[in-house]
Amino acid sequence: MRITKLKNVTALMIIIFVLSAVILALIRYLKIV
Amino acid sequence: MLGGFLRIVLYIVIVLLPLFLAALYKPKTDNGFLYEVGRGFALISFMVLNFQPLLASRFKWIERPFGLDIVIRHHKYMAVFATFLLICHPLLLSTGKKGFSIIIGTGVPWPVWLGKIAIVVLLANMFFNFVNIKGRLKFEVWRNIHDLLGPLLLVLIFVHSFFQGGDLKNRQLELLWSLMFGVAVSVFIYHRLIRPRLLKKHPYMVIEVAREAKGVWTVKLAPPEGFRRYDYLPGQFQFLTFFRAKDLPVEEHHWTISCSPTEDRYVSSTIKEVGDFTSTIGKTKPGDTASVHAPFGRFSYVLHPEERDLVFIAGGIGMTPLMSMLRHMREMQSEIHVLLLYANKTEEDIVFRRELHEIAAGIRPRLKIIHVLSEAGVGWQGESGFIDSGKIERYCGTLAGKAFYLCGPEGLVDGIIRILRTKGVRDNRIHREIFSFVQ
Repeated sequence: MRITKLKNVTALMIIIFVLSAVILALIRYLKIV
Repeated sequence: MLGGFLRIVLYIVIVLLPLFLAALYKPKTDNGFLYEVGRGFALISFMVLNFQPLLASRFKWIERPFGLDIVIRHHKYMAVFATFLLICHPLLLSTGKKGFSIIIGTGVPWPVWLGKIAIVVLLANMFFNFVNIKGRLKFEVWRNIHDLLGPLLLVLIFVHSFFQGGDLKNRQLELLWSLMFGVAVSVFIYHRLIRPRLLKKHPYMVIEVAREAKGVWTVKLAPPEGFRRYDYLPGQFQFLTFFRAKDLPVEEHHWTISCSPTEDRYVSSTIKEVGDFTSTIGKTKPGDTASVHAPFGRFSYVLHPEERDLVFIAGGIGMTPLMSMLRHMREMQSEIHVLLLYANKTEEDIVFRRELHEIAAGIRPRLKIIHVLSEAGVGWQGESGFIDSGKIERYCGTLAGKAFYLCGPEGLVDGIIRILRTKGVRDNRIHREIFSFVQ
């Protein structure tokens, strides 16, 4: 059913977006690069 | 669904692009971790918000794999997500050296003021969306507010981030920012100003307005002279803007197409009087015109040719897309088996009653109809009450191998989905159309 799929996809997207922002912050903060 | 998957991946990659560019340009910082998270949130929310007009503008190449109802639902979810990020943005930045003066201080640079105003505009927009969902605002009023606050927000966050953003000091990000903002504004102008004028140039003409049941009208529209009727699938819907007598409102609304695509002289929608606008639909006259933007949606049995044993469950006017499919099956002499469970309040509310029974009396499709009335009158021989687990079991028998098409009020559809799931029907066998974009 498409609504459930959409909710899963959106939840996954949100996790990816938030994680990416956190990872970028972490890289900068820890001066990894 | 590869096209859908690719579009989702593209969306994710584009939204994350500024994070990559920012990381490449300036990988190290002297700010705290939370401060940097706050900056990352702002970059993502800018991209998400600039995508919003693109999602809401009904472009076929975006909508096709998902259905417009799903794209609009995504637009709403992402608006809530972006709001969360933008509220977190100043809170996280306040963990930096300047502390809470970023939020409460008055001696901040002018682009920061624009950022503060942007958050107020965003919250106001969310407030009106909430009021709209609760049904306390006329749709047209909400739409005008949304059309004002949405673009205003985009302008504010663009100027704020362009002049204040710590990560926007390199050429690539400046270019990406200007491009995203330019596309968002252009798409908005096209969707709200240019396209309606283009559609109005070649309007369809009303050729018949017929009463279908109590407060329900079928409006037939013929394509403009020299033009072919647009192609659609049974079960899809169209946006119509009627141009009628001067005292009648001119508003755009979407309705399911109720006729079969095998009928090429006209396209019809069957409309129930439920609101301020639809209560005037019976006053539409042959000779009136309407601009048509269509077709949309993926609620169609022809998209699932492997399904041969269908159960249609409709509530009230939710019958229209299913009627389009049944008419199409009849014209195509389809061998499909269909059980229709049709819920209404009273006998008078049953739409297409005579034609439904004509189809059921024919050989193809093999249609069986069960009417269920919640306020059955004296002498009603059929089912009464609501469509519940017992009735589904009684009439469907085994549910294995069956596909379900649901259309009607949210409460009815959600309730049926719960029943079907408890009976072990897999989600990919349940098809629904979200009738309202508001909820």
